[in-house]
Amino acid sequence: MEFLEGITLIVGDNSVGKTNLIEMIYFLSTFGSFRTQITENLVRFGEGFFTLSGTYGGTEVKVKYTGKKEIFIDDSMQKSIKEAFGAIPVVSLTNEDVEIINGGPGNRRYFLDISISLYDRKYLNYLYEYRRAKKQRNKLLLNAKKGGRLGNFELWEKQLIKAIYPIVEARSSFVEKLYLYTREIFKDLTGKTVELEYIPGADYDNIEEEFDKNRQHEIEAGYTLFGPHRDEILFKVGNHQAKEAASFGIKKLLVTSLKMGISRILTETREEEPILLIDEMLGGLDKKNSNSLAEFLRKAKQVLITTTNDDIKYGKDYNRYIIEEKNGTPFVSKCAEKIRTF
Amino acid sequence: MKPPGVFLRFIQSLQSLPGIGKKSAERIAFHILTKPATGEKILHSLEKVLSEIKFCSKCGNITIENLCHICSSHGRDTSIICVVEKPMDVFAIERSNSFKGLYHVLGGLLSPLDNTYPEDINIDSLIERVRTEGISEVIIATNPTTEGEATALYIEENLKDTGVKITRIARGIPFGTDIDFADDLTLTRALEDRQEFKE
Repeated sequence: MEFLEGITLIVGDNSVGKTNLIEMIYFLSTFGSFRTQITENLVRFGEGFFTLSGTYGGTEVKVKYTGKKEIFIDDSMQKSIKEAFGAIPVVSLTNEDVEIINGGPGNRRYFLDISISLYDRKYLNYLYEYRRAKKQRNKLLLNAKKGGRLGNFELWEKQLIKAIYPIVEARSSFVEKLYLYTREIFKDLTGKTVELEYIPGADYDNIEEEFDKNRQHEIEAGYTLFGPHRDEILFKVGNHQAKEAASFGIKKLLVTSLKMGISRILTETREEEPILLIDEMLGGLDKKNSNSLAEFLRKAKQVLITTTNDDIKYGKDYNRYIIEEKNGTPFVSKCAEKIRTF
Repeated sequence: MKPPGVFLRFIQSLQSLPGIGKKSAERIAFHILTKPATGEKILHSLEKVLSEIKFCSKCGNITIENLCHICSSHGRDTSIICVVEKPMDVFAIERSNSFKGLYHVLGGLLSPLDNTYPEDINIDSLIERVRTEGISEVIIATNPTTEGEATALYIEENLKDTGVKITRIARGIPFGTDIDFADDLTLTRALEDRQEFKE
């Protein structure tokens, strides 16, 4: 399938495979799904493998899945997901994204990690190193909790701290940038002000002292109590915490602004506009909001939107695919000519 | 039809080898079954390897004597020790023909998750060698992983008092690789470990 520049609507009834289509494109960028983190679920029932490939901006990504993932970029096999992550830049916007605001802090850190990794390849490496060193350190803390020895604790703490600095640096500068863009976009969409605040999971300027001071606490807990795995982001709309005070519509517009903000950050850092994948996200927005969002989307390079009805007004023209179910399998037909709306 | 249990267990034991998945294990098992001569040959050499190969009493490399061929050679520079994780690493460096010193095989890396602590790998014997053998330089050639780095750090801290020169192998662009093909981490580290221009 080929998608033209500009907005493409993917129109079809419920459960005909619209979301699967954009999920596949998302998979080619992150090698995971925005719905499930287990690839196994993406494999059609009864078949143990799949092959998927796609090209964007001159980069071809191919994934062969046979229980484990083999990834090829421009035909050269990649050593790991780490190497290939984000080769095709993609930003997704789905109804589940509201969980970035409503869900637990883990959702927000996952959001940070995925977003930063799309433009900073080193970040993912530091994250791996951090997790590995933390696991080793936790094992020793647990040993000590059970009355065993703390072993050569400082070795692992040093590895941990070595990875902490670049992670924290990347996260705080990302949130700063994201705040600037999101504030502007959110203001345009709603007329309201939004604040984003990065709340560090430790006193990173004195992290060694913090670890030293709390050694006994950590031993009692049996795991690492401070660090990037305890970081948080706080969203405030008009001086109130968005999670508690904002309406569902406002939350939806906030995540929309966040995702559009990321799209701008990617455009700036990678000098390449990402593909925007929007899954049924525009339902439930009032006319004024959906119009201002549509205006925003019209400026983007390539946007794929799934929808059950194509009467949403995206402007003068857009491309359209219609997905129908025929004999149990999705059937795609393309409306080549651009559709004129209003 | 289900294959006999003894055959399934054979496949399972093959699968416990590194780099051998289910498919390969099955292919090997059936191959051996249809070509018994190959199986006999493997069985024979496996028995020999298990009974005859041991670890060098000095450096921990594999050998059939008390000392390995490197430790007992007269042509090596006995003032430099290169510290590696496993005997396979000795193989790799020897193949490159670029190192004429001695080795020290740790037999593992520090990793609390795998219950590997300093006394489980050959670190004390390394310190002992540095103290008694007149060593002037120790090159630490562990992998650039979290465990490799932690082990390197441990060795460095424990050798500090001996006054020996301690170096770490450089990490950089593989020979014959174009810069635009190198992955980001390799490039980052190659830039970090850059050297002054030498003619």
